[in-house]
Amino acid sequence: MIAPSALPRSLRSLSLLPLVLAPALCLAFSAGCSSGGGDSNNGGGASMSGRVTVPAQGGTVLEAEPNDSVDQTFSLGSLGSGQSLAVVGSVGGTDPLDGFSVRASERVLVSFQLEFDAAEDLDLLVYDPVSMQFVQFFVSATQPESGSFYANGSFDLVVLPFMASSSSYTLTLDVSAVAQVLESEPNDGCNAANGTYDGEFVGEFGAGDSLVFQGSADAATDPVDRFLVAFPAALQLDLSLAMPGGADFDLFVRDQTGGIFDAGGACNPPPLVDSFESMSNPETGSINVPGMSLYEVEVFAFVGSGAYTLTLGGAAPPPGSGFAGLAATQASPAPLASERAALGELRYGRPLHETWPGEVVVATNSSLAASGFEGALAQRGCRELARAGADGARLLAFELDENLDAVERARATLARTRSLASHPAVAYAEPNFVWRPMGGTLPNDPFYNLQWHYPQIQLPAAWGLTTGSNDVIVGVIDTGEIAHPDLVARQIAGYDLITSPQIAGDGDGQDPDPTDVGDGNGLQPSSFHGAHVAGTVGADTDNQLGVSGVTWATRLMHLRALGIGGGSTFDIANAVLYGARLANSTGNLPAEAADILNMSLGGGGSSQMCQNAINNAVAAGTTVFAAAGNENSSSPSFPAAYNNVISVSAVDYNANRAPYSNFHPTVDVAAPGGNTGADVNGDSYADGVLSTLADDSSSPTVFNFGFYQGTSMACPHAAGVAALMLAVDPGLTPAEIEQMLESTANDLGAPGQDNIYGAGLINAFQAVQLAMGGGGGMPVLGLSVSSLVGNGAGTQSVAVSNLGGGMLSVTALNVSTATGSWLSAQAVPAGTSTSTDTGWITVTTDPTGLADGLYQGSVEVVSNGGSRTLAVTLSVGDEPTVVDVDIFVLVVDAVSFETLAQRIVNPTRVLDYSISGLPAGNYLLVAGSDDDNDGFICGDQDVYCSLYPTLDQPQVISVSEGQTLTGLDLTMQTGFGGQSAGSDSSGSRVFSLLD
Amino acid sequence: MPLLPLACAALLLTLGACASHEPASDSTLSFESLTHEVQSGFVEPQTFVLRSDYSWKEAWKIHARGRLPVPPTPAVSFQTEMVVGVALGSRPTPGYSIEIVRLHLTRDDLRVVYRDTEPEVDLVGAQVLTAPIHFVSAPHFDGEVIFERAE
Repeated sequence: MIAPSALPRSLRSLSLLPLVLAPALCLAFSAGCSSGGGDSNNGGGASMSGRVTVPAQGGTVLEAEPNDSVDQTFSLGSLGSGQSLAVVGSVGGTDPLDGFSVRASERVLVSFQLEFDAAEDLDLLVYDPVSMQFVQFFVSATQPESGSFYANGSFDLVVLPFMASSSSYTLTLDVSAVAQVLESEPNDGCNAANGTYDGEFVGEFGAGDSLVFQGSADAATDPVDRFLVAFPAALQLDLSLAMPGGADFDLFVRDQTGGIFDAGGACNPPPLVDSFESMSNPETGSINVPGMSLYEVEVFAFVGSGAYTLTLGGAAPPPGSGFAGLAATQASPAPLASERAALGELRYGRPLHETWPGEVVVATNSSLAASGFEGALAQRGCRELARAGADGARLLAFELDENLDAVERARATLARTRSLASHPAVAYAEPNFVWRPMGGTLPNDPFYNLQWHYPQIQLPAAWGLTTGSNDVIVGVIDTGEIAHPDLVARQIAGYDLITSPQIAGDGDGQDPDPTDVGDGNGLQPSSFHGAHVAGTVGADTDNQLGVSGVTWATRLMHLRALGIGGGSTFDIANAVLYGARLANSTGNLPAEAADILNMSLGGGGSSQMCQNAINNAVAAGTTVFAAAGNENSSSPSFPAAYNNVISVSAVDYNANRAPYSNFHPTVDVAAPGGNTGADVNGDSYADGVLSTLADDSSSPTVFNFGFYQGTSMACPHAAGVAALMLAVDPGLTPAEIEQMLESTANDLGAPGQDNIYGAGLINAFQAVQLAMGGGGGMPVLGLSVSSLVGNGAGTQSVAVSNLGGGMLSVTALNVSTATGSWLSAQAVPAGTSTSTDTGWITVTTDPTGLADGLYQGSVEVVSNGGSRTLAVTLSVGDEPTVVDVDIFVLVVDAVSFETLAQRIVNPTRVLDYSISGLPAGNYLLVAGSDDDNDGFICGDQDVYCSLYPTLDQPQVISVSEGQTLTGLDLTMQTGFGGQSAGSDSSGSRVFSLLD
Repeated sequence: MPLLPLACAALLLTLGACASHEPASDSTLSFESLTHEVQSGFVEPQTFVLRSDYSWKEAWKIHARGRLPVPPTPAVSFQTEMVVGVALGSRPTPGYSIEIVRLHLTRDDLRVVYRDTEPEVDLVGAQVLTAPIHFVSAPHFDGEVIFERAE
């Protein structure tokens, strides 16, 4: 038997391999493999089976937003000779343009046709990511727009509505290999009158390349032919121009890196780099070209006419030649301000997201790592800053001109990123974002998917605005700190405020050590309540460990005031004073005051001392939160009922009052507190709040995670959101924070303020947006899914939600299909919602008249809170489509995302799979192709991906011992999830193949 | 809250009766604590007599469902042992507990004596709900098991 790990990963795409390896591809944890083949049930475990449906390769791709800027494109992946691709989308109205990033794996001619509504006018532009400007313009007033262009390496396609046009469209691309470039008129260069560049862009050109141009020129009637060539890396460029006998043709090379157009839209006279004007035939010459440049090569017919052959050759710069670096990044505003401003595409070239200047994150394909990539880095003057990550990603840095402004630095960074991305050894290259784009702000912590309580308060959307600031300190007045690996990086010096050694349990009274020694009092494990609360505020997040916190960067100051049996008002009052950096019983002060204090505690009576301490803390600028209490009572609970405290009640998974939560006029807002007696979301875990914990029932203490319920758990959600607000506006006062939290909360229960929910359930997105000075309660459209898969006739519903405030109105549904009219959609009003007047979108598929096959369409949902597009795939007939690609079907642990089992289906006309021997557990079922051979599926460069039952709404499959599950069918999607070339790959879930 | 009425109600379903008579003679049995804690997945008052590995593992699954990773099920040799337990049910704060304090064998049955406690008043406490529980392993006994709340 051949062990899979003994074979190079690159061989795994061979179609015969699954047959060879079938007996070897048993479950990773299985003690032994059945010799009868991989698809039989091995007896002891459960099994899953179903069928994989795959759209034909080079099929239809649905565009997905956001794709409106050079750092937020929709990746179409690699295109090679012989491939065809159709892209279906819509543009116009609130969607200014659609940008697609493409990588041509060889020099190709791309022929395209852009079809759209007859009354509208859409154009297609080609964007060069090396020089960050548009280089080809297809801007006729005809329908369809069509043409062809050359490409090699990275390039972008931009579908642009002319003026106020708005239309759905189908962009068809047909790719063919080219041996030479054929001159095509007009190609006289910059055309200010039309706002176009009339010339031929030939794509990237690198060391070792050679390229032949065939054309003709006439000194009298057509003296000039111009070509644009992009150079991502420095090289020595050799030119040779053969011409007809008796003619005298010359060569001029100009630098267009700084922008073809100037700020006013006029043509920028490009600096002349060199000219070759001898009488020789051929005319020859050689120049040194810096990397990251765009050069214009001009054939000029000085005398005579006839056909010519221009040959370019590239060689790596000789060592020590002094021109191995990059072109000086141009500070000219031209690429931003001039490019056909009348057509409104200015925004495309302006990066939407802040990046660390000059920094690029790059991962290579392991099998290709040695293929000259290190040399490519050296040619670009690139140095390594750090190396980390499971996929061997490296953080690289380019030197940038210090005189560039922030926008130009970001553009230069993106250009260098894209130039690396086109290298064949690169699995992905992306800027090192300072703030991640909204689509990529889900943390990579493995238990995040069990923290239902974060989406409930719109935290993922809020994280698109900020993930917090390390300048903000949250004091947690509680049981103290532990050395949990998901907390230690966030914790700063705290204090033990407990005066009674008996309650403290650490042998003394107040001291500078806030360690939680446990409150078990004979029961083990201890509650480690303070660690749980702190983890909700700000567990170390996006660190591929454990859970996420509401904030990703806040510092946590533990103020230990609860010990064995609880605490006292004296100690708690002093903890408030200490946290606010005010005189207190310890005689000490922290280095910095806490901006926020969280008190997930209550009980006892009203204390004037405690009220005074809170008043003083708030007057000093510290915002104080407290839990409303767990007695299911209308009695006031202190400290929540004190003045100047933001009192937080608790809701369950369904945003209903948690059965224990107190209700009282002092309740200000509600937040998720959970209900561990229920599992409404069906994830096999209690619907509590998941956070950091420890188990001290044995030695050494085990640091783990757990679900708790209580207003204790609700309170740190609100405190954490306040920390996010302070991250975007450090000047907010406690009163402003409370007002913003209340004014942006989603009203629940009786309209307006009520005793159960206060102003309502906190809305992190709205609160942070308001703190940033925006928002103001504007509606924001949210859909429960972004894709649907249908089988034959049927109707499916998609929930509409208002992520923002005010009233959300769906104003239009734009249905688009490439073929036929099988798709329709209807908006269904909500019954009683107070925040949205549209509850659902029903999507109906009717395959009448369609042949067997796979069809794709889209529904654009337009609202006063923005637009979103639903991708719809319809499968007609039973026969699966046969494709020439291996599809990996994986069973993945729903919690840890560890791949437990794997099968491969491939082009044998049988795409059925069966996986057996599974132990009882909770799983995700994933399938996809590993087109970049990086050992992962569903990555940026992988064409096919699917989760069961749909990509955007995967379900956890609970499997009991020996259970047999059938009919788990998967329909592959291409261009899945609207992967953005500029987004952080870690934000998109990828799944590891078994070796 | 006294547990006994609910415990008896539960036992009526499985054991047929809730005895109230005094045993004729006593034999105290030793037992070993398997877990004694305040955060259990059993959020209703409940008693347990588990005589098989399967039922013990199923109970542990529910008990530990609030923790990640799930701690391993404590080993019990059901050839010679069984598991008995008491769950107090959900309480609004820490400070509540329940504990099996004694097992004694009478001529007719096995008595499981437990004690539950409440928090001291006037202390400020964490606002997290708790669900105390105590599981112990005891010598295997096929007869009737009676739960008694210690005064």
